[in-house]
Amino acid sequence: MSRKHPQKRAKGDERLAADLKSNRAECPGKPQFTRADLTRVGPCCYEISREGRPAMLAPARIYADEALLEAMLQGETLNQLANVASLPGVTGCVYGIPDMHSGYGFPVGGVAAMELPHGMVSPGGVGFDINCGVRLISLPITREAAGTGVADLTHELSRAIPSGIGTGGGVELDRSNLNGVLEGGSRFAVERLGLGLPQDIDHTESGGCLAGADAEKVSYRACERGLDQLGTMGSGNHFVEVQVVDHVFDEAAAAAFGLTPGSLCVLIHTGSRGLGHQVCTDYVKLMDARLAAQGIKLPDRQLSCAPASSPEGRDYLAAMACAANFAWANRQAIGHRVRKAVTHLFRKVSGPSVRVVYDVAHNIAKAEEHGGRQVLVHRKGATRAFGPGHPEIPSDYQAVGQPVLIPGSMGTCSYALAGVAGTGELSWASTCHGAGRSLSRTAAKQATTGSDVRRDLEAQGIVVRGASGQGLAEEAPMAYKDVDVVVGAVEAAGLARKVARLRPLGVIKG
Amino acid sequence: MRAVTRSGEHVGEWRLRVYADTAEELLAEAARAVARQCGPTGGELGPEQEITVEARDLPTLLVDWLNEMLGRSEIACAAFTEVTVLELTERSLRAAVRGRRVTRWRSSMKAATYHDVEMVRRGARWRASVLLDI
Repeated sequence: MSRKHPQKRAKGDERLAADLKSNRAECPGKPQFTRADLTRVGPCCYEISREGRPAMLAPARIYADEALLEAMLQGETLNQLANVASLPGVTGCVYGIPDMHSGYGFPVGGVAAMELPHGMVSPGGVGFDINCGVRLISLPITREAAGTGVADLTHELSRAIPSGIGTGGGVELDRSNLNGVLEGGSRFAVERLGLGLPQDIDHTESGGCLAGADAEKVSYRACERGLDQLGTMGSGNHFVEVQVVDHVFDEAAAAAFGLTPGSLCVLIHTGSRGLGHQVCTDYVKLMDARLAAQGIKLPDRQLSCAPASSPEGRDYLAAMACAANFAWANRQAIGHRVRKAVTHLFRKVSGPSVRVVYDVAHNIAKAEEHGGRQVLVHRKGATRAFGPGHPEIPSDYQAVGQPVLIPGSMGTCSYALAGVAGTGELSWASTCHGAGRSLSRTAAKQATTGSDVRRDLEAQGIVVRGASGQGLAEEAPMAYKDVDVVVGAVEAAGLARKVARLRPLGVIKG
Repeated sequence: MRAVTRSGEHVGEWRLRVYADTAEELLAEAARAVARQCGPTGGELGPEQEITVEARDLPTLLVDWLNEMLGRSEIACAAFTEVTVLELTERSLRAAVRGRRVTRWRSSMKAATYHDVEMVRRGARWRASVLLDI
């Protein structure tokens, strides 16, 4: 059995024309997949083949154990992954990662690559929260030494990091500085706004700045939404957590990442805020309106797309890069406040010793080289995971692989993983982005209350700040899949390896 | 009959269903439902704003209208709960809205989506279904 991409592709215009012809002929509509449609092709790996499904232009591979797969078979999840496989220009396989669940257009936890230069770019394949992602910061303090300082730090961070709208407290930007952030990302935040240290940038995916950003392609409305949101966390599933390194699985990699057992960390989970939401809204609308003119027929309008080489596609990629850069600068600004809070509370700690382990995006489309080909990889709720030796990994992580950060939910552990070699052929070098929801917010609220969640967390010694009762219930740990199981499936499938487990001690919600 | 809203089940997002006697009231109620998610409000009602949205059909109009209101709400930190649709065609909507400042922003809504959007008349009632990313 070969686990490599099963298709050899013709390239360029001919290929796209063939896809469009097929695309016109039939759309998959609403296939309902059953277990019988899935063939096991490897450890924790199942395939939906193209056979008998002419609208699918690529097979779909799903990484999951039996229990995770059973959950995916409920609802629209696999239908949505099959729909992604109908996008013109799709190449290799489309992938569902172990935390996959239903979304809109793309499933959350879906990965697809498009041939460049002419394959499709789909704003819905990135999502509204462009470059939602995670930054892990290690502190030179052990939990034992911190003592009650953990609660103090949680409280201080809740004061220093605003949730966002209407609360003030973010980084004040004028339009000129906003443009600088949009086109310069983390580097502009550090060098021009004084938010952090140069070494933070080295430990940020893509150096915290995606090439090709053009602020002119971002609407006035999007800029208005972003002007007072830099350095803010937002609400929903976004959070900042104080954590302790609970268990180390790979000592060499953990040492390279600066994660020692018993030491404290801060995990930041947020994205591009209203600016990114508006960029996606603007370009989904634009592309949806022009689908017919492009000759594209879709099974789901939220998959709206345009050839990456078209004016619409190029403009979206330039605007998306701006939103991604805003998100990196946002996490940079929050990280700066974390560093200030830590050095304020723990007087012996120096700023540079509060160290960014890494910062990864999990909603993004990026041009990457895989197997000598340039492709546009859409990761919607999925994390890039390059193996050792990849040129895009920081020099101090070259031997161990890219850090991959998997946030848990309140009360459950998060993980630091490392990329492994050869995953370009398994998943476009992608892995999971979290535990993935298993209950709707309504169901979660019916199953528990905010006060119960708070009491349970406090019983575990976890301090909670900033969350409303409703927000706590909606984001209760029981509303998510078991992150240990998800990460176990990731490792079993060979998509990444476990390095360290991080346990929450303090949770700050918007 | 009054316009009513219901929440539909979706594992990750929010499915909003609205029922009303007229298309105008349905669109107004959908906007109010979104405004109610913003959080508690306080202070005086703000000045009236007139809004025009154009789209290729009614379901698209519903999505674009809600996205217009989401963007305005976030920028103004206001919940526009006073909504009157002044004029409606298959492709355009003109509305007057007023809102109050949100004292503690709670909304995690990012946008309305075209995914399985529906706005149809069934007998004497109109119904709509729209999925919002939260």
